[in-house]
Amino acid sequence: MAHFEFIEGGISQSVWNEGSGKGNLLKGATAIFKGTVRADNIENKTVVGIEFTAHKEIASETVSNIAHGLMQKHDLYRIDIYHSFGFVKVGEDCFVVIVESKHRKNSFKALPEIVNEFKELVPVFGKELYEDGSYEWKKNKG
Amino acid sequence: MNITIKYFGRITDITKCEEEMISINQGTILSNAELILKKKYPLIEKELYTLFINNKRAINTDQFLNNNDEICIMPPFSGG
Repeated sequence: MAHFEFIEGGISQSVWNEGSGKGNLLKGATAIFKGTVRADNIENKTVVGIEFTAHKEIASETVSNIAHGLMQKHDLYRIDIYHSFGFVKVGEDCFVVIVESKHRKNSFKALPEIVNEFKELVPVFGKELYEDGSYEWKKNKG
Repeated sequence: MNITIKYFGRITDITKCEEEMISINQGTILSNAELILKKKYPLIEKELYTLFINNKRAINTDQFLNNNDEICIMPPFSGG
C-alpha cells in the first residue's frame, strides 16, 4: 500500500505518525527519512525558508508509479510519502518518507531509492527565501 | 484554436505568469509552439526545461497540437 500527500507548510510528526500500518503484525521494520529546511548561508545571506510549488497532478501520478515499482522490487508492505506545498520555515520538515517491510534489509535498500527517485522525477520546485527578501530557485545536488 | 501553457519554478521569473492561453493555427506541432514561446520570452532559450503535454512528458516534438491541449514547461525539479 502506498500513500502520497502534499501538506500545506511544514510537516509535523502528528501528520505522519498515525498514518503508517500499525495493524500489520507481519511488519518487522520501519525506515523513515525526513528532509528538513536548512538555514544555509550563501554569499552572506541566510535562508529563512523554502516556498514549494508543484504540478500536483503529475506529481501524484509519478509518485504512484515510483511507489508501485519499488513496493514490488523490495517486497515492501507500505510506502508513505509526504511533501510540503507552500512556505516551510527553517527547521521544519518538508519531505517525509516512511517504508515498512518484513525485514530491515528491504526497508534500508528501498528508502534511498524512493528519496532519490522522488527528487529526480517528481515536479516539485523550491524557492529559497533569504532574510533580506531576495530568493534563489533551489537546485538539487546529486 | 487555443492551448494553455503552464510555467513552473524559475521559468516563471521570465514569463511573470504561471499560466496563459495562446492561439495557434490548426496543424501546429509542439516544436512550433515552443518557437512561439521562445520568441515571446527570449530568455527561455537559456534555460534547461522539460516539456509536458497533457500531463505526459513530451517525447516527440513533431506531434500535432489539438484545441485545449495543455503544455507545461518545467525546469529541473527541486523537491525533497
